[in-house]
Amino acid sequence: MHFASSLYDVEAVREATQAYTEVAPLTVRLEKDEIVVEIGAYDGDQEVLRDEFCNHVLYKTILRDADTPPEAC
Amino acid sequence: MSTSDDTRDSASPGWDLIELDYQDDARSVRFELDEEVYPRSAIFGAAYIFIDRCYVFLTRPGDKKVGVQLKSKSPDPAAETLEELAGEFANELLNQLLRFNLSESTAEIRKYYMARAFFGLTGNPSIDALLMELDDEELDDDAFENDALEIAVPWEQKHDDDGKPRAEQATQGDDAVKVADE
Repeated sequence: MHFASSLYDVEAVREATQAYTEVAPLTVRLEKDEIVVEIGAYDGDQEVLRDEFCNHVLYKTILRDADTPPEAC
Repeated sequence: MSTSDDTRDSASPGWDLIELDYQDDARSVRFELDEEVYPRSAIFGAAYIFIDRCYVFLTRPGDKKVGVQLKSKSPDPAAETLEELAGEFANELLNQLLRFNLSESTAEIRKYYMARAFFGLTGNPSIDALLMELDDEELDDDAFENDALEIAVPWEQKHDDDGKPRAEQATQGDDAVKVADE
């Protein structure tokens, strides 16, 4: 899964990864403009896991964005 | 806004602002937004509303562009359902944009109200304001000179060691003098 780092918060990705640790092994890798998450061995439906994980990352990112004070003018 | 079928393009020219792109899996629809038109906060606000209805994934296809992919949680959604989803997302985007603009335009007045509520002043008092305050206090000191009820006179000055009012003693003394004269 590739998350654009200009949209998604890297800490939000890490938090989501931690939340999913018991579900499946996930590894986070930072690239130039992307945060890459790879799923390890998982017995269930990988597509559902991917979609749910992406929603969770977006949810965490939005929460973090709402907590961030606006930039000074 | 135009869909992949061209029926709407000819009907209304404004529809080409957003092009819906249906994915091969027939479960998702994708479109691009201009971040200069829709700020990221507005896109996030709309995405937050839709997170429990569908899978939302954001991409960065270009500078100042945000790709939105909405994927149905249902395994076999109708094309109309996806189109409805995209349309409702666009509506919510406008709603969030309005909220964002209102928030921006009223930010100053909200700050002013908060400052008034918490501090009673809009900022630190100036030197002039402090001098005015001192002048007012001096005027209050002058007011003590016309203290007919002697409110400003300390209790010890108005009473002797036995606690009797000095003014009464003076009056009684005057009466005694008058009696002696008679």
